[in-house]
This record gives sequence, structure tokens and C-alpha cells, in this order.
Amino acid sequence: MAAKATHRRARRILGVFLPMLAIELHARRAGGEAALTTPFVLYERAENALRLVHANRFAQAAGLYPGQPLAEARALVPGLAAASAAPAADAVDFDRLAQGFLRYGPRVGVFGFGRICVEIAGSAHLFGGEAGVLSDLRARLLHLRFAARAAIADTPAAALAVAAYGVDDAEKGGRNKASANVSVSPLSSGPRGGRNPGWRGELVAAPGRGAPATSSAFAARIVPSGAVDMALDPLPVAVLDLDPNTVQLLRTLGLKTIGATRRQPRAALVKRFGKAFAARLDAACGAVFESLSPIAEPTDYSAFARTASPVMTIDAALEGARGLVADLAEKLERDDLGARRLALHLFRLDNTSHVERVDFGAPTRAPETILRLFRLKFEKGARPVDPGFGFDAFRLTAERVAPMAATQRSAIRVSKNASFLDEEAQDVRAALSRLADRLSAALGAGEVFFYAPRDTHVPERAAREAPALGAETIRTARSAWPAAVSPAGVPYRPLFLSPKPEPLQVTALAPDGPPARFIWRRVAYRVVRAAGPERLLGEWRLGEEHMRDYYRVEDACGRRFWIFREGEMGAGDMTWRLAGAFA
Amino acid sequence: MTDKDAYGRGRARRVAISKLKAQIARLEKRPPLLAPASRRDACDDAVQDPAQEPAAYWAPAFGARGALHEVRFAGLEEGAVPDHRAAAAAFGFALALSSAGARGSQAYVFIAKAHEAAGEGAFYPPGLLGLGVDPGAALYVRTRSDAEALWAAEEALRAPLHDGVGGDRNLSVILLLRATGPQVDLTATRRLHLAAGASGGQCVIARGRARDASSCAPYRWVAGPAPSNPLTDEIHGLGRPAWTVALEKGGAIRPPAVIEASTDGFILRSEAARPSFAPEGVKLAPAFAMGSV
Repeated sequence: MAAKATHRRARRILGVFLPMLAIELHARRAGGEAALTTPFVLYERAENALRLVHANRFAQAAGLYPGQPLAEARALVPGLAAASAAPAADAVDFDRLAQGFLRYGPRVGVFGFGRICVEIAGSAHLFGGEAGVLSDLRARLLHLRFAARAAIADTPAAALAVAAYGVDDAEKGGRNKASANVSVSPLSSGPRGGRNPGWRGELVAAPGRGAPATSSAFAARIVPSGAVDMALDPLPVAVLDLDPNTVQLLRTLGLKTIGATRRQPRAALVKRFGKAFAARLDAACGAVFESLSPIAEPTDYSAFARTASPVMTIDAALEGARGLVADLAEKLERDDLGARRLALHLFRLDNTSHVERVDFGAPTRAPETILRLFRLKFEKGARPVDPGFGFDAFRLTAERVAPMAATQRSAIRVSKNASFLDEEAQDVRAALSRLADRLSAALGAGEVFFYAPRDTHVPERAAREAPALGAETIRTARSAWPAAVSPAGVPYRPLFLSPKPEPLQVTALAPDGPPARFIWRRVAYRVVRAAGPERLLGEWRLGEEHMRDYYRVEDACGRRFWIFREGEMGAGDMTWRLAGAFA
Repeated sequence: MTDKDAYGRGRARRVAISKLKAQIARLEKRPPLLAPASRRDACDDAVQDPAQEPAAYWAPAFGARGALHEVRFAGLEEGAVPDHRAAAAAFGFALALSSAGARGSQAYVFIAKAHEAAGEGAFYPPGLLGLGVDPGAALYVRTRSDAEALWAAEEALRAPLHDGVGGDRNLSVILLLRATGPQVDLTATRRLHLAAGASGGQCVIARGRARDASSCAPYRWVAGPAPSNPLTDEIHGLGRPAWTVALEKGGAIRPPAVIEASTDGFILRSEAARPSFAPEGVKLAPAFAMGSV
């Protein structure tokens, strides 16, 4: 029993209920004021009819309610603004909002959409006590234009129940002696300012907006420690999150408040409503410990810094970013990760910013590598970065991360041919990947590449350019290339292949024979040796119908060329072209 | 001023100049140039005893690592403008240079300017196989300008892709610049040479027409095509790749020689001859033209 009592005293839970969250999130996404200042509803298709799921307070005042068919609502309120509900988007936004509550305590639990609990027993003093927590919360939520009810109590269930049902009553009349209303003075300035944008930066309202117009946008109540029973007693049983049938039955039996229910003999209650009901009741009152299932802190791989005075040059900015890179590298190392894409935001004094991104072929967290790549990007970028009135803040974010395991060195060489698998080749590959990153950052990703073989006999397509950036598996074994050299060491394929074969004037001894002489770029060449023809057809499946006879020819000086004759023999439209040059 | 004074001053000047030359040779990590008198002797020795191994014939230049090699395209006649059609020969010889001194694995970085691919064309990987290069072990870089090409080469040389001179892993960075502007000058080549020296990698600039032909490369070659030797099994066909090569700087002065690819490596052909890049003469209108321009 003593242990329980300790628990009860030790726990303090902040419960927050956001009644209009879906509508407010919609307004935030859609922009504009209509959803918050005029009757507005969200509807969804249920049972083949459009029914309201949320109605704002103006709509509720006009007599609209969730579950009502949209057509009926439109008839009641002409010109009603309505939009389709977006539960998926809401869930994502609510998730982000919940992340923001981590500022009040490390354990944040979510009890359904719009209901959040935070354990603040050990962290309330950071805000100047529980009233301070509520004051901070009020300022932030008002700034974000979220209507909310909050309560601090000993148990999650009680905090949420009081927040949802017991705050407005207390505000109006102060009937309940066990509770103390918090008077929260409106803050002159919002929670923005300073380097930490609240709510993880995602849901920060546009600057320049004041607090919302309604006075009842935020209400809060602190239930003193040990006074949970007294706070819960006047509340309806529905607050306990029971199934509707149980609530209906309790109401039928006349047990409308929690207090009335608790006064009944416990054995009879358990027998009538089951153990689950009794457990809910106990959890609310603190007789049974109800744990929060905490949400995880988001993995945020970013670092931020300000400078004492604005810097005017990229060099100085990069120097400022040096610390950020080290910070980020530390975070990444802690989680065995490496960055695949980094974004460096440079914030100018006049609220504009410049962002520069770099990609890495392999996960990276070496500060020098990262800085070097950014320097390259700035130096070799298409146009110089304008510092304006100077940069005064920097943010470095890892936009894509990948696991960066400790490199395993193979003890045994897998096979002689698979040379790129062995240990040395692994190092080479890593170094090559780094090099490719740097070159790609400066020259463009398409300009730095490996070649990979392609299974075709058409010479132009036999080698495929594969961008080197991120190409860890592109490097192919030598055996994958078709043998383009005779056993005696004579190459069959040229060293240079012309992208656009240029026409030749050719003199041949026989119409279907090798050329005896040809003119290329106004210079004549006398053919001394020739080998061929090697007849290659276009790929029919690609619609190429050409037929080419390739010859390897050598002139008197020893220049070796690859030339081809295209077209049907005797058809009269034969052309000779220079395909490439041999070494 | 007496004759003796003049003699003394002239001698002092010669001594100072020879000291400076020795210093430059030390900086460039090569033996000091021979005196003009002894050059002729070296030349005669070479003719009498043609070596079959290119590495021995051009020691220590052929295949030297940790250094910058410059391979000039041969001109139509000696001392003339380099001929752009010698690009394939020069590049082929650059590959020979890179594979010569290499033991263990060999990686390549090939750099060329994008707009120079017209005409004879760009690197063709299946063709590299013919010269013993693994096309998959190479990184290809296309640049827009000389400056970018030089920068990329330096980056590649400074990457830890090799174990230094004599190591198991080797890197050759080969730039193919068919025409170079003023950026490829003493300073740029100096930087490349130092980068190669610092890392033990090898850098080869195959270079055609140049605005500024000066270069800090300790080894300068001139390479042009050479008629191939017909093989017994391909009587009418072509032989193995062969080039006429002369070492202009960075070693004992030798007459130009013909180097030929063999099934394992490269050999020197015995009939070392002066390169004869005679112009083809007058253009002939074909008597029987089958093609059209």
C-alpha cells in the first residue's frame, strides 16, 4: 500500500485535449481564415452518404453535429463551408504536434486523436512549476491557433477526463473546491524567437499573427495531488473511455457520474459490468498504475548555429558550418548511420536563405569529406551565392541517411576472378566512390561514370554509361565484357567510337570489297591493309533495319580506322562512314 | 676589362647555370641532362644495340610512377603542329605507359573534354580490352574545359586509390586533351606532377595542339601511328597495335622506336626507324566513288 501511495504522489500527468484539432489542422493546411471564423464542417463518406465528422463551434452553435448528413447541414446553414476530412494527413500532423510535447517531459503518450498525456512530475520545475507548464503551453497553442483544454492530475485517465469535461465547468463557477483555476496571463510575445522553433519547426505559424480571437481557446485546471477522486466525482461516466453500451447501461441505471458509480458496492459492479470497467475506474482514481506508452523522439539529424555577427563570404560561412558538421557527424555515429544527402541552409540577415545540397555515393560522416564537398559545390557551382547583408545562421540537415556499418574485411578471397570483392578492392571501391562524389558534385552527376556492358551486338550500345554517384554495384568483372580481341592480340573494336559517324568518299576495287582509298575530312588515305567485312545488323526489335559491313583498315602511315558501308548492295544508296579509330 | 676577366665571368656563369640545371633536375626527380658532347655518344650506342624491352630502352622513363608524363601527338613532320589524328596512337601509348610499371591491381581515371568527342569519337570500353585494360576498373570523366579536366585529374591523383610507387594498387590518371588552351601551362603541369609525386600515382597527359606548349612534365614523349606487322594467321588483315614513339625529355636520348602490343605487355620492334609522318600528298578525286559526302 505504501508503494502505491508513493506512486500516487510521485506521478503528475499533463493531459491535453484538442477538441477542434481536425478543423484547425485543415485550416492550417488549406490556409485562410474561413474554417476558424465562419461555420465550417468536415465530412466523410460513411454508409454511402456524406456525413459530418467535425463541426467548428460556429457550426455547432447553428445546430450542426457530427454524424449529421451533409445535405441536412447545408439545408440548415445556407452557404456552409465544408471540406472532406483527411484522417491520414491529420494523423501525420498530430504525430508531429505530439512530438512537440516532448519539451514538457520525456514521456509523452497519445490516447487517440487529439488527446495527449505528458509525465511532468520531474520536469515541471523547469517551467516554474505546474502553472508555468500550463502558461507555456497556452502561449504556444494560442500562437499555433489550436483550441485546447488542459489539466494536470495524478493519473493519465484523470488528467484527460478533467481536461475534456471538467475544465469549462470549473472556469465558469469554480464549483469544485478541490481544484484551482490557473490564471494565465497572456504573453506579450510568442514562443518563437530564439533558435528553437517550437513544435519541431513543422507547425510554426506564420509570423505576425496575433493570438486567436476567442477567449475560450484555452482553458486549464490543476487538480492537486491526491485530489483526483474529488475532481472526478462530478464528471459523467462517459469520460472513462468505456464502450458505448456500458455507458448507456450505467445511465439507464441512474449512475450518471463517476462519484455515483464509485459509491456502489464494488463486487456488484464487477459482476454487472466486468473487470475491465472496474479496472478503468481504478486507473482513473490512481488505485492501479496505468502506464503511458511513450512516443519515440523523432530522429532528427540536423544541427543549427548562429554567428555573433553576420559573415559575408562563403569561406567564412563554411568555417561557421565546421562545428555543425562535427555535431552532425557525432549524432550519425551514435546511430551507426552515414549521410547520403546533406542540405546546408545559410540564413541571411533579411530572412531569406540559400540552400545547397550534396549527395554521397556511399554513406558518409567524415567531417573533412563533407566540408570539402560543400566547398566544391560552392566554388564550382553554376552561379555564385549572394551573401546579401550577410549570413547569420546555418542549419545542416541530413535529408537521407543510410546505415553505415563497420566495414567487414573478408578473411578469405572469394575467387580469383572476383577481384573487386576482396579486401583491397573494397578499399579502392570506397576511395573511388569518394572520388566520384567529389567529381560529381563539381562537374555534374552525368559527367562522371563507369561503363557497364550490355548484351548486344550493336557497337554503339555495347557499353552503357552508369553514373558513378552511388553506383556501388556497377563495377563489373572483366569477364562480363565480350571478347573484342583476337587470340593473337589484335583488337576487333576501336579505341574511340564516333558518336556521329562522319561520311567518307570511298574508292573500292570491287563494289562489295574493302576500300582502296578514302577521303575523310578532305584528306585522302590510301588503305594498305583491310580486314572484314564484319556484317552487323540493327536490332529489329528496336525498328533498326540498317545493315552495316564494318572494315578495319590501316593506311600507309599506320593509322587504323573502323569504317562501315551501309545499305543494300546494288540499291544505289550505299554510304560509307567512319565509325571510329583504333590505337 | 681583360680577356682573363671575361673568361672568369663566363666560367662563373656556366658554373652557375649548371648548378641551376642540377637543381631543376633534382626538383624534377630526374638525372641531370647530359652534356651536349656525350649526347651524341649515347645516341650512337642506342642505334648499335636496339633493346627489345621498352622499359630497358627508355629507362627510367617508360612506365615511371609518381610522375607526370606528357604524350604529344606526333606532327606530320618533325617539329610541326601535332596532328589530331594521332590521338588514338597517343592514347594507346599512354595506356602502354600506365600498364608498364604496374604490379597488382590497376585502376584508371580517364578524363576528356566533352566537345572533343566529335570526329574520331569518345572512349570506347570494348576497345580498351584490346590493350589489356579492364573497362570496368576505370572511372570516366567528361569535362567542359581544360581547367575542369586539370582539377579532376588532381582530385583523382590525391584520392587514396593507390599504394604509392611499387605498391600493389596502382592508379593512372589519363587526360586526353586534343587541343589545349592557355590553362594547361607550367603551373598546371607542375601541380599535376607534384600531386602524382606525393601520392605515387601516375598521370599522363595525351595532348595535341597546344596554345602554350610549355610543360613541367619530367617525361615528354611524342607518339604517332606506326604500320602494324601482319600476323601469319591474318595475312591480309591488320596486326597488333603499334606506335612510333620518341622520348624527348627525361632520359637518355634514344632514337625513336616502334613499340608494339603483344599478347603479354609491349615489345619494341627491332627496325627502329625515324618516324615518317609524311603528308598524304595531294587530294585525289576518286575515280569510282561509291559513297557520297
